[in-house]
Amino acid sequence: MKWLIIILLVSSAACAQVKMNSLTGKKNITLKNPKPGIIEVNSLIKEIFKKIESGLKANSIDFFKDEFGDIVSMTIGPDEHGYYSANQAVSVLVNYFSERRLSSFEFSVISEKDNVPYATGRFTCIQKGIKKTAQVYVSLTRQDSSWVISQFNIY
Amino acid sequence: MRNPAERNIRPALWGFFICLAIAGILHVIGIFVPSYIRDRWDAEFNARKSQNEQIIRGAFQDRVDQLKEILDNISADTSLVAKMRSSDFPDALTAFKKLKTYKLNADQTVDIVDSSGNPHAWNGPSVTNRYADILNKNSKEVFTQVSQHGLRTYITVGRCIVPYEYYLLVSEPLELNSPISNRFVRRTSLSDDLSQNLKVKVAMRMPGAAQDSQGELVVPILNEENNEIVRFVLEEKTAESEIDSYTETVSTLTGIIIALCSIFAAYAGIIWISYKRKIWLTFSVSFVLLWALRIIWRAVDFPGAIINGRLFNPKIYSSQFAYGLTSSLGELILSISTIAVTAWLFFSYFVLTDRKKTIINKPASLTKRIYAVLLTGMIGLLLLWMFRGFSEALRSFVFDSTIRFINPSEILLDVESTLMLANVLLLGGSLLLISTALIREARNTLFLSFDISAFSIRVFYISALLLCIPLFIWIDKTPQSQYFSILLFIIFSVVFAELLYYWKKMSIADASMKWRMAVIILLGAFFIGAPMMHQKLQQREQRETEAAAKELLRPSDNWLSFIVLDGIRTAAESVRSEYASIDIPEAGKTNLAFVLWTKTLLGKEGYNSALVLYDIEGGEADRFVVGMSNPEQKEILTHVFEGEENAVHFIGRTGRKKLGKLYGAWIALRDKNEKFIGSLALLLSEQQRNSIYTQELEPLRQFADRFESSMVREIAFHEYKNDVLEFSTGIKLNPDNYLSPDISSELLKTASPVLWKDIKINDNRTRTVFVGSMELPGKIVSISLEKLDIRWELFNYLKEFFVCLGILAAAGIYLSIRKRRQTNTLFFGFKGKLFLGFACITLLPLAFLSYYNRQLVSEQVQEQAESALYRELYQLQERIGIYVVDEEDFIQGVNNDFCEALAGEYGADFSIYRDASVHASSLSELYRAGFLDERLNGDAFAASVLGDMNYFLTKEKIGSVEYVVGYSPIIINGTNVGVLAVPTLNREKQMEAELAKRNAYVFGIYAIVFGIALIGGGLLALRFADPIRQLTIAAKDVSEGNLAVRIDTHSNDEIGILAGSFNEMVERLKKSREELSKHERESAWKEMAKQIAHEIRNPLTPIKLSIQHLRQAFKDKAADREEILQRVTQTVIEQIEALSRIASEFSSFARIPESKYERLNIDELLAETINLFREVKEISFIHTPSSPPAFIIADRDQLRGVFINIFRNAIQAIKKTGTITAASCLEKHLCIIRISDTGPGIPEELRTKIFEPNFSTKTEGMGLGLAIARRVIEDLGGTITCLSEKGMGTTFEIRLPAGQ
Repeated sequence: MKWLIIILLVSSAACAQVKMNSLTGKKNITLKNPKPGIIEVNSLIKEIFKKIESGLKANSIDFFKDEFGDIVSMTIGPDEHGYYSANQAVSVLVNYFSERRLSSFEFSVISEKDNVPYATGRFTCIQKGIKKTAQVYVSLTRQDSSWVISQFNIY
Repeated sequence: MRNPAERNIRPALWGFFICLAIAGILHVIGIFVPSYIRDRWDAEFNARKSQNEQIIRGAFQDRVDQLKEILDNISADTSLVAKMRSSDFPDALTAFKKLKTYKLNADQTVDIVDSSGNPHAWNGPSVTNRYADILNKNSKEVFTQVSQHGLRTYITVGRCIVPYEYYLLVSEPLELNSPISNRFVRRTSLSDDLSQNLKVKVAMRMPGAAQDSQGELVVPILNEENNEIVRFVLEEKTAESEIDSYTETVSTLTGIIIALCSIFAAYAGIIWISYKRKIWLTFSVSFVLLWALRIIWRAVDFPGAIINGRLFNPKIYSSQFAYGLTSSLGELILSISTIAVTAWLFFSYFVLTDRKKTIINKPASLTKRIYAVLLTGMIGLLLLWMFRGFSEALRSFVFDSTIRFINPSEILLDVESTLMLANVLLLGGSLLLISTALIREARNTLFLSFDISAFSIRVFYISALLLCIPLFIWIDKTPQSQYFSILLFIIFSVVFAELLYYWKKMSIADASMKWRMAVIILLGAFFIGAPMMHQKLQQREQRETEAAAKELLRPSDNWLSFIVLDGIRTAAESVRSEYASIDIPEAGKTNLAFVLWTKTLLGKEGYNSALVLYDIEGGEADRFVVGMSNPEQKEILTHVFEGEENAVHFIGRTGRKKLGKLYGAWIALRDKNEKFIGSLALLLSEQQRNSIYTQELEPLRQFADRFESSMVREIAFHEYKNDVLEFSTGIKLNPDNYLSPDISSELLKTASPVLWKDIKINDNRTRTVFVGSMELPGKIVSISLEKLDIRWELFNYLKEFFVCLGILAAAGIYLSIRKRRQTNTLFFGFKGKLFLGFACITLLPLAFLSYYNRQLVSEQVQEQAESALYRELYQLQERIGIYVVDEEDFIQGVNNDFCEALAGEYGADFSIYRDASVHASSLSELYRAGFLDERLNGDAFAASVLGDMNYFLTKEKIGSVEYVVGYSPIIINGTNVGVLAVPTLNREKQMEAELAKRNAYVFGIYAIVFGIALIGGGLLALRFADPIRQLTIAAKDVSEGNLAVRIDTHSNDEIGILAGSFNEMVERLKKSREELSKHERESAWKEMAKQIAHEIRNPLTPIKLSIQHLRQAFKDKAADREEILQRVTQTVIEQIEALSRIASEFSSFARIPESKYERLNIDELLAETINLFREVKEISFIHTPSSPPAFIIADRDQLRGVFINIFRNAIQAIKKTGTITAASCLEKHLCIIRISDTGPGIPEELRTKIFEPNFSTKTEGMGLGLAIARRVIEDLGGTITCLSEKGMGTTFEIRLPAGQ
């Protein structure tokens, strides 16, 4: 009995090492020897935007939940603006989309100007029986030599 | 006898099955609902339509009724209305005062207007500037009207109080005309409320608006004259959306029922297991049930689905740990509470429960010793590993939350901070409980394995734990906490473990020990957890400051660029599709610039921005501006028109001390035929002021809320180019013109160009970050955070400590109530009551003083602010007086440009009213847009225009922001030509900062004084209570028979006298007892001697007679003398044997036998005894053994003797036939044996005597059997009682402590 309890304690303590994105390091594709001032390889950025698009179409944040940066600026709805950690950003979006069923989404603009990539698109959803549309804006930034989502706005 | 476990479980099981059944029914309903709804949708839809109509009409009518109630109340005011009816309009000032007495909410308005629509008195914001339009449309005495004015649509209820002369109107806003929801405008919308209620989109439209779309339901609202005044349009609801609604409701209900189900199941499980009395099983099952309950609640989203407020909003806190068990603050609280209960179970199992009764004393083998050492090492590492997890959890609490833990303006923590701190304390406490239990386990194992002293054991295991620290630090590559915290944690755990030993050794009462444990655990959790949390807050601030600095380094912000670009395209598209018919040069008349602005995101969010319309020639046609000064607009517009169309341009800085970029873009406007009709420019300022009325520099909007304590310390931004200071926002923190070479060279050496330094700027201590730009070499941005002195830190810790004290107080109350229920005594003894008394006596006056001081400070600060406002009003009046010499000057010369120029000079916005309407203002665009009311506040009008007050202050609101406005009449040549209005929002912040400082400094002193008073009170309570405690212990000893106890006291006060009296009393008691004892012994011996003499005489008599008879027979030479000899011999032998028996029994009674204790199965012993008497005829025996088997610790022979005695008495009592029943059972910690017979029973008067020695109703025997039985049972710590009724038989009940 005593050994069982100790084993339980060890395993729960091991699980209690909370996975912080910044602690374990981003799992994004990192660049080798990034040069300042030079725009990144397009495919990396496009891949992230593609994940976001697929995720929103499938109504699932899991597709891109690992792509958030340490600090994410989010505007969800009118006058609700804030800065959240990566974990919070995922939860806020999960919460938001749990109340809405997306019927369609596509990024209409993807831009990499001035080394600050962003994409925007419009989605349609049903919320409590009411059909609504909203615009999504996502921008990326560099963090530890990889690209992460730094801004996610829905308005 | 019904099993008590069954009794208690049954209601829980009922609850479980009922809930399960309901959940099943709901699930089935959920399956059939979609098809049911689809089949009946047509009929349902029609029914729903009429229901919706009723609801909409009802909601509108409710609004009307509320306004009519106010109308009726005012109309009934005879002093106002009667005068008006008698054509004697009361003094206007009186009318204003009267109207003010009627309670309205912030949006409601009461107006008294004449037949031309001119207001004579009012209370509230203006509804329209054309009241005549409202009156003209209605001819009834009481009427209802809906009108649009500016931003809003209003509902007005009116009554004609003097025919053709005066009307009373009560109004409130129904709807916002533009989709704005920002800091200027509070959103009120009846259609939004109806949409929520009816779960279908509802829009409000005026009659004659654009054609309704097909598939919409229109609900017209008619007034008293049956004219349509407004209509509501509902989007058609589909069956699928209805199904979605129902499915969601059913799903939520099912979740709640399942959660209730799980509660019943857990309760039943815990009750069932508690009766098993196997501690390890209780612990394991409780653990499993607890966590199963938690997981089920999470799975069904309980109670988040019901509560759904900020507690369960991930924006407050959220982590991805443990599959959603910490997905919000509410879930985190539940999970940590579960951890705390688990830790308590663990602690109870390992520490509080006596699992082993005997310790086997034999030398341990080498293997066991090695195992003991390894176990100690492993436990040490395990503790540090768990502590690391605790540190990571704290990191998550801080980094994954938006909670502002440090709010200098409040004395107490807010709700969210309090809850998070409680989480820290609970988690820390759980960690300490588990670590203490593990340390005890290590200690016990070492103690069993090594034959050395307790002190050596202590030294050994403490050294082992401390050695684990450097080992763990060497292993851990990503340390989460400071070494000091780790050391503190180990020290606390060791101290707590040792204290537990000490308390057990001192036999501290259970309740008192629990209280001491609670205090130590909570204090330990606080002193370990609070500093760690502060450290994490510092780390968070560091991270965010770095992010802010990196933002500043970026050439432009892509989001702001995007919304400007998006804005001009949206505005251009609106012009093309909706407003092409409007002539651009005439745009000013329709406020087109404002209307287009509201359609962009800048307008929806309320950003400081401007929209300018130009005609074909390039002349300005209309402009709407909010929060941008003229110079700023000019600067960016020049830049914008030099650049290309449909592209965003920006300027790096907006002013000498102002931080932030300006963005702008322009686009050509075309109609549907692509004909060029003009152009449009959209401007945005990155610097966002929280209010329109402040010129104060604020951090960027992006990070405005991110810095803790920004109210009471300066945060300055600096920019360097090639080590030369180019720009700084610092006032106190204005650095040198050149960057220190050490810093720039250190920055170059770092891998990522970020460097933190503690530096002094103008003798102010700061923590400054320097960030170099990767794209622009030579450019460095730095942010300096002023360091606050120690008093602020203390203030924060004190606030947190109060939370700790609050939890302790709650624990104390709980323990007190529990003890009172169990023992009917209060939890706190004399010492505790003394201490509490001292605390209350100290706290109450301090609290009163603190409150009074705070009020005083608040009043002083308020007075200072008002004085400053008065000064400003005076100065502005003086300046206006310089420029304006007569009324004509005032009317012509005082315009918006004049006001803007003066406002720029004084750094404060203001407005000027003439005849109750705004005449000119430095914020004219806000009046035009409808953000500010063009009509002068009613109170201000009454005071400044009608009354003779030189200054008047009132509180007003814009959006959700409250502020104070000062009014003063403008007198020119003795004539009141207008009213000057100056708002004071910026001073609100100063007042808050001042209050915060006072709170921190004074509160800290109060807390220190209170702490000293508590410590002093505690020491005094100890000193006063000690003699009482000694008296209590001594009295208890005396009651247990120890008369040797004496109290030492040297004081001469009442306590000393009491102690002396006590000692005398005990001395006298001792002497009395000795005398009594002697007397009793003598009596007992006399009695025994009598008894012995009596018993011995009995057999001696027949012996004497027999021998006499024998002598005579031989003397007479009787023929049967041989027979006589045999008879006599037999008789003598029998009587000698009787004598021998008497001697044995007396010897047995007097002697204390040597007992051999062993673990006995009661039922086996009963069965043995029954077998001895099986041969007795006509008596049957029934034996009901105990389930589970009952064991006791006793001497087998003695206990058998007791049973034999009782059985023999029973057999003797049953005259002919009968039954003897023997039953045993276990009840809590007692073994109960009942032996019953069907004899005649024992009369009541004899029942009390049967256990006395020498009492017997039989002719044979000494009457000692039951006396011996009672002695044996009492020696075993049990009781024996006799239950009997004449004619009903007798039952002997024996209760003995059960042995495991």
